[in-house]
Amino acid sequence: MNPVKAFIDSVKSMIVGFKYLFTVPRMTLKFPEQKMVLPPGYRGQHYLEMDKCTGCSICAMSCPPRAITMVKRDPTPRNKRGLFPLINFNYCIYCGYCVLFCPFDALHELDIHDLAVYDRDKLIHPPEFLQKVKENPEILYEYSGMNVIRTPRWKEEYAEPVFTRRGVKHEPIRK
Amino acid sequence: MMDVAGLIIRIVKYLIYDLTHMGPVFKAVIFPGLAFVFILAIVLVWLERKMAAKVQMRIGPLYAGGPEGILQPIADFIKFAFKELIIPDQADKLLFIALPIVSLVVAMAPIAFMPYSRYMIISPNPYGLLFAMAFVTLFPLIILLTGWASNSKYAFIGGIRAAYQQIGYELPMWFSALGVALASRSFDFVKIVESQQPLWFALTQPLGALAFFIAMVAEMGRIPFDIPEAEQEIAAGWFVEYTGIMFGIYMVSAMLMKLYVLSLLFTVMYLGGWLPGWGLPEAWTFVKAFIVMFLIMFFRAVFPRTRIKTFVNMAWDKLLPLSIINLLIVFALTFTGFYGGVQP
Repeated sequence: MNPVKAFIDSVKSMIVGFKYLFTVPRMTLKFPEQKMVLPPGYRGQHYLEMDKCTGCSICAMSCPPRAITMVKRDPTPRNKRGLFPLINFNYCIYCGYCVLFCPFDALHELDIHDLAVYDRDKLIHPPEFLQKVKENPEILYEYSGMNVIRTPRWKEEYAEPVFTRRGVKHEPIRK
Repeated sequence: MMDVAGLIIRIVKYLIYDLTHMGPVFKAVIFPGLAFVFILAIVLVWLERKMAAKVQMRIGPLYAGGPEGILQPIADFIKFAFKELIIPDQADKLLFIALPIVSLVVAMAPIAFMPYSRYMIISPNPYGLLFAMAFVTLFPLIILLTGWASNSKYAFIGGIRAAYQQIGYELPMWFSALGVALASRSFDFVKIVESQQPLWFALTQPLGALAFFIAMVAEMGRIPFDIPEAEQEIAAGWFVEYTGIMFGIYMVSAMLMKLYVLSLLFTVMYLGGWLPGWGLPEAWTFVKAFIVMFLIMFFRAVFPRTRIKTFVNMAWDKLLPLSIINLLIVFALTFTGFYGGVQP
């Protein structure tokens, strides 16, 4: 290899590094304070509408890791057997099959993704819990005990959508 | 009892006089010595991490107190101090425990001979260059010993790699340093700096400066030449078995002290030390050394690691001829009186 060319290339890469040091935006978010605006259809924490559920158990059958168990609750006129899905998020792979296969649109997925817990049992969410999550996401963090850590230190803000914020500038193809 | 009290009072009086008049104790403990070096080490660790993060589009240390997480190195050091010390069963225990301390001493020893200005030097010595280079050369031996004392294959491979790498860069480094000594006709750092009065040696001996710079980065074991501790290949290389505070000491000695010492050495030898000398001469030396340190830390964010074969080939094929040609040019120029002074 030509040493002069290698030296010039090294200097060029240094210049690119200096440019990145000052001009290019940061990719990392300061998470609890800055949140990313997630794209529609993001697959996160599930949300159950108990009054739509008929207890058909298709979600439990379609679940590849078998994270969904049908549990007995008070019967309703629509759900005479009183069966509702319980999701174990230790196993859930967020494939979205349960949401896809649900014939009555009772299961949905929200854009909540920070499901850290101290105790694994706290990742087993009963149907009543899955019902409450949409209106009041804070119960998720109170239930898991992570609300102390999740408290932001500064003002919360939403970052720009990920597609526009992606700071990678592709270099033009050289011929 | 009165004598002891009188002695203590005299010692305290001397210390106060020394510290207020920049005597030897002040120099060793505060300014070019310990306190300054450790504060600089904290800033350097933070700066290196923050800068690498910025270049790689991350944020870097943020939460550990102060603006932009500048207290992160202190937090790390406290964490190291409270971790368990694990000494491997098969290790050579005496060497294993003693080597971190020896490495810190060896890595910091050249600071004693390095001048910040004509008077701001801990130990003025007519053979300062030789002493400093001798201590710098000693460090790969400690790496090899560490690898052997750890009795672990990764550590041993790291030690062998350090020795192998030293075979490559050692001769160019010494030949380049010889060019400086020949041009200034002295091993004394003060004379070396003052003989760069019109032009720095980096400008009059560019080949030697380049060879010395590359050999110096290899000696520091920094990217692109961090072959002995290639993290992706041999875990952490030669200090893989160290934990807790011993690991912390190795990080300080091997990563930071060598960076600081060799950058200062390069500044004094090639960048004219405290020249042009007006204003605060120590500040000139520090700013130049800091720019060199910044440059070398910047390599880490930009360059990949070279293979060991590539490096040793480059050292023997290119660096050694460069430094020898440089030495011959300097030798020829001394006869023409280019470097001034009495001709040999």
